[in-house]
Amino acid sequence: MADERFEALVDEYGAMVLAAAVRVLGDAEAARDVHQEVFLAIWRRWDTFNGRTNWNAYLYRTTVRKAIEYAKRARRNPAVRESPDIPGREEMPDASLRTAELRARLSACLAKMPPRQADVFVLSRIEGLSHEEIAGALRCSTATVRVHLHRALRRLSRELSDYLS
Amino acid sequence: MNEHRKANGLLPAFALGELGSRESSEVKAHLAECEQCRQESKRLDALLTCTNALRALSADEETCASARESLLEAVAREEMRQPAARYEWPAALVWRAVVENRIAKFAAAAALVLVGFGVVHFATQRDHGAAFAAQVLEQIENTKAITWKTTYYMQVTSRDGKRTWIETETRQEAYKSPGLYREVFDDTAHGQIPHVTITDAVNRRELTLVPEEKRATVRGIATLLRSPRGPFVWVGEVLRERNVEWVEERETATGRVNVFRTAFRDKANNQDWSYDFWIDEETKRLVALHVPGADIYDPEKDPARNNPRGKAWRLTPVCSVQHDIVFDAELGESLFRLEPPEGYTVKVMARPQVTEKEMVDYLGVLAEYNNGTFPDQVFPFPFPSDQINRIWDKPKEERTAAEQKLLETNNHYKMAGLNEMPIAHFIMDYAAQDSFQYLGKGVGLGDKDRIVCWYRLKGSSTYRAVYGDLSTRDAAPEDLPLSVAP
Repeated sequence: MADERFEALVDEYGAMVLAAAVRVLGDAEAARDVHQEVFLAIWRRWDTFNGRTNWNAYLYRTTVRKAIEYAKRARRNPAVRESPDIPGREEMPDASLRTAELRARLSACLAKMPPRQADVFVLSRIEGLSHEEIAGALRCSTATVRVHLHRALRRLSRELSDYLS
Repeated sequence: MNEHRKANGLLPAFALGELGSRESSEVKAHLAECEQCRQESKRLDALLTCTNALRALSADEETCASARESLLEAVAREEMRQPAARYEWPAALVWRAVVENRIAKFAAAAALVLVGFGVVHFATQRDHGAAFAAQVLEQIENTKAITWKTTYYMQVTSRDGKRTWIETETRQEAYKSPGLYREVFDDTAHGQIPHVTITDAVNRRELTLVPEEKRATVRGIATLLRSPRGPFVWVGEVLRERNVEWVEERETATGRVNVFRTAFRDKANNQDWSYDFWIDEETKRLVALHVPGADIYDPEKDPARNNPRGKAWRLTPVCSVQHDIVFDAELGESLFRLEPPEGYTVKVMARPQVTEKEMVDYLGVLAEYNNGTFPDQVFPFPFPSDQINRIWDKPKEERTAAEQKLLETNNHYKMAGLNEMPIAHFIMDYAAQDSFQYLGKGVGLGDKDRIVCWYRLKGSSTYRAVYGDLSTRDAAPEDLPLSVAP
């Protein structure tokens, strides 16, 4: 039986973790896998966490990283094609289709990027965290956050140029 | 700086609205003249607009609920793989039985099953902190033969509870790869008979020799207290997984040492715990391990250490120290031979096992003790050790029948060589992997309609369910309260 405090943590932050994973991966099943990875990793080290852990920052950081790693592993699967199919694309309205396409392309790009750039981009542009919040989550300065974000934008702008133009 | 390069370099900040008015005006002026930068600026704006749309995505309630359920099932499965019931024993038992039991506690506390390896964290106040970890890991992982001594410290109390003193017992130990251990017990201060135990942790066999009586016992091991990978492999896992901090320098008989410590909360026993690693400052070698660390118990500072001894009534293990550690020792093969010497009387003991009936009966003993209701959990242990200890503290005549039954049953299994719970042994020997599920919380003893636990026997395609009345019946997956693999 899990510790009651652990269960309370899952209840409080589980939806946030799942939502962040869905936004990166665009797939509920994959997001569930990431949700389990994140919390199981915490459970295995439960006795090392003291009462001062900033769970919001910790979970954002960990979830984004694990979601991007998940996307990277999925790319290494030979079944994943260069241009990922969007399931049921013929039935989707244009706006939803564009969002789904973007997410799929974005996931692929994030998986190839330097980890810090990818993490900062997701936390800033997808999760909507401020530079200060990101700096706290990633334990770096706001200046570093800006540099990573700018580099990430440049890189994505280049790699998604055909989509964005 | 070239105007184009400067403006181009500022485009991400411009798109994010981070520029002051002067720089922003400069960029705008450049964009009016430069097609390349204009196109890039448009792409950056489009990227920011598109990714904003992703913020609206979320997870529905059903996904959240199922994710939570899957996670807690996974946690329960992991807990089931790490059972450790550890109790203190009073001095009513012989000294050897008490110390053997405490070896299980210290070994189990030390040999934490750490799944996965995280980043190595060190926060030391010495320049060679990181070097310490690397060198210790290399010593542990590369050595093929080690000798050391283990000293157990016991806090002993008189029958009237008014006097306390410290007693120790030291054993000489050796390890040879792969998985061979030799323990020499010749500390006869407590009337114990000198003996030697040789353990093959890979093949789970053990030979105990009593030279004075020319007696040998060969047995299969049910519970491994020794790692097949070496006596200090747990140290490597601790160094990789936990924060380790430099504590102090100490002078010892063999030179100066640096003491490093990791401190944490021992969930299973609900207490603070720690390990101290003593590293010789000159050789950089691991020379001693203290469990727990001196922050919890320091044998050199315990005021009771100088108290005179009396007649022991209650023994409480307080500390174990592995010291005089020598890596790459020269050890002959004959020291680890598992064949009894000629001329010895040999007794062969089969590996103890727990039958299904015994496992079910044990669930009944737990429920009887728990006021007629099955315990909330069975792993890592059904009841906290301090709760069991309070039963031991009571005079026998003050215990209830259910309390006495629980103690006697636990004692029976421990004497049989099962240091883990009998339920865990049954699962290990008979249940298909990951098939055991306990759901006894709130089930009353005698309730024939409620399932307490289920499992699939190895080689069987059907599940077995144990009910509150301790009956067992075959069950189809759809009849079980939780979803299971078909």
